[in-house]
Amino acid sequence: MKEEQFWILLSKKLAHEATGEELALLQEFLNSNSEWMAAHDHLQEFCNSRPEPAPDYTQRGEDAYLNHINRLKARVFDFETEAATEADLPAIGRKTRYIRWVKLAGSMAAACVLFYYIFSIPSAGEAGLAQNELPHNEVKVGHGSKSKIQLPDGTQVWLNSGSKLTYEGSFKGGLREVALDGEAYFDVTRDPEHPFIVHTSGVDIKVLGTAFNVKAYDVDQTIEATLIHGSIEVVDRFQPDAPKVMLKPHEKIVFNKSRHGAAPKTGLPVETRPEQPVSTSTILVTPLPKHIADSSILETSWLYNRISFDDEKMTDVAIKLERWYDVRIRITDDKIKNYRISGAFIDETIDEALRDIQLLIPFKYEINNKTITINKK
Amino acid sequence: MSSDSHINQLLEAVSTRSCERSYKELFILMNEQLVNFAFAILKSSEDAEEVVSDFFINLWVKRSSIKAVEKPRLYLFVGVKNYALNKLKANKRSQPPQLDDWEIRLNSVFFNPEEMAISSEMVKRIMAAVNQLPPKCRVIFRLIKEDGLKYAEVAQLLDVSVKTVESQMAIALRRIRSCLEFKNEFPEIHSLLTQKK
Repeated sequence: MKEEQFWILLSKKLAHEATGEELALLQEFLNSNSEWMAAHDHLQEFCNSRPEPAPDYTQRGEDAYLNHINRLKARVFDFETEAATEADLPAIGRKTRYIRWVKLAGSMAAACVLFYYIFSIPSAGEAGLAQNELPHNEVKVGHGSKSKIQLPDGTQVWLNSGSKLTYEGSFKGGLREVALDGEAYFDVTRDPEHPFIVHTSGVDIKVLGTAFNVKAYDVDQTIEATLIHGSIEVVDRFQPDAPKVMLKPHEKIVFNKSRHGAAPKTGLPVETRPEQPVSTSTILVTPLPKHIADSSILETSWLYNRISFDDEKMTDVAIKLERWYDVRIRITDDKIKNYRISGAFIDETIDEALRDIQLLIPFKYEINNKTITINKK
Repeated sequence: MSSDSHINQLLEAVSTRSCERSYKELFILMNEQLVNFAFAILKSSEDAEEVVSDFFINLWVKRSSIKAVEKPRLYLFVGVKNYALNKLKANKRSQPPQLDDWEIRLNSVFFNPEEMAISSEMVKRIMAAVNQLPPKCRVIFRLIKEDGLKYAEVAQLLDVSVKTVESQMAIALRRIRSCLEFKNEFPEIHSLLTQKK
């Protein structure tokens, strides 16, 4: 009985729950029994030692928070928007201790303003940025080659063939916005206070810190964004009020521009365009196959020097090959145009690639300088 | 471990100023502990994460009605417990589990082997001993040692008496002590190890 009491008193002491009386009683026990004294010392040592935080502790917390915020935003609409409205009312005289907070809000408001500015210029992001007075950088990658650049904030960008990336010289004021015509893989430096925004001809993609692939050639019918890790939100340029689409890691969004027709080029003010409900046929979110290594994901295979197709029409395959090998491909036969193929090329030359495709589809081809003509056999 | 007053400050900032930074700090500070606690009830990591996230969403929605909380840590744990029990009901999975069925993960029975001059073999023994504690005992040990709740708070959270908490903690300590006996069994080795300091 006495021993039981000792253990209770000791555990209380070690949990900082013991009262003065209890501590005194415990001390009596300890004085009278050296065996218990040893137990006391060992356990005290044990309880005082602290765990070393796991190395990825912060990263895990941040990731959990990003996922949480995605769920939150899907249901709550006043998050992150209030900061901007409060900053609009500095006259109210908020106290100085809020100053950092207001600064953040200010930069966000500025982002909103610029965002709107770019938005209201009818001829897409590229033109919008070009009309800004600040100096701009433009990185162009020709057909048949690829390039990797580092942006001023440390973000790494891999540009695929035939792509163009435009951005303001220094990301001054913490604004991190780029305009993309083409395909690029972004590994964005984490900076929660300054969202990173990618403008394309159809959607804007907002990021906090993450890695993702965007395929948005101005001439293509669709825009695709594939998230590898982190979290991104996608906004329809022409319906900024429509619900934002959040992507989870290993999800892909396909956005079909055809609904807007030639809208970006007509110069019509955005406001006069009739409202159209978002239908599932224009925006499609699909998960990537599970348990797949990053290097074998179709959407990012180009990073690993692979060009791959998954059940794609020959006309689409031809476009990819044109960009990859810097050639022009003309298919004369409608039946061949509609064949669908899957496969991947790594180091093949265009000649080898075409011969491989010949194994699947019967056709003849001629290479004349950089123009390839594909005919019925 | 963060203090109760720190948690209170964060709660207050969220409540009165809608401070998103405090909200984030609070989430990151408490998420892992709360998910672990919810897991004990739900036995599914996905459900546990979802329940904690739902709880934090509601915390944001209702932030203006949060009054000064006397026991902020308990407030968060009780909230998550209720969400977890509701989730169980929604899943139509039988009765809420008895405390003896709770499954708690003790991932960080904490001690720094170097500081304590104990071998990795002993670390294993202690971990094993703690993980073999009866479930109820483990839940209580974790809430007190790792999550920083008070005896009275744990009693209230788990609907048990303070006496039960006391006796369960005593059981846990005794088990751990029996592993630490190593020092007594092999005094020579032990003194060699400690001399390094």
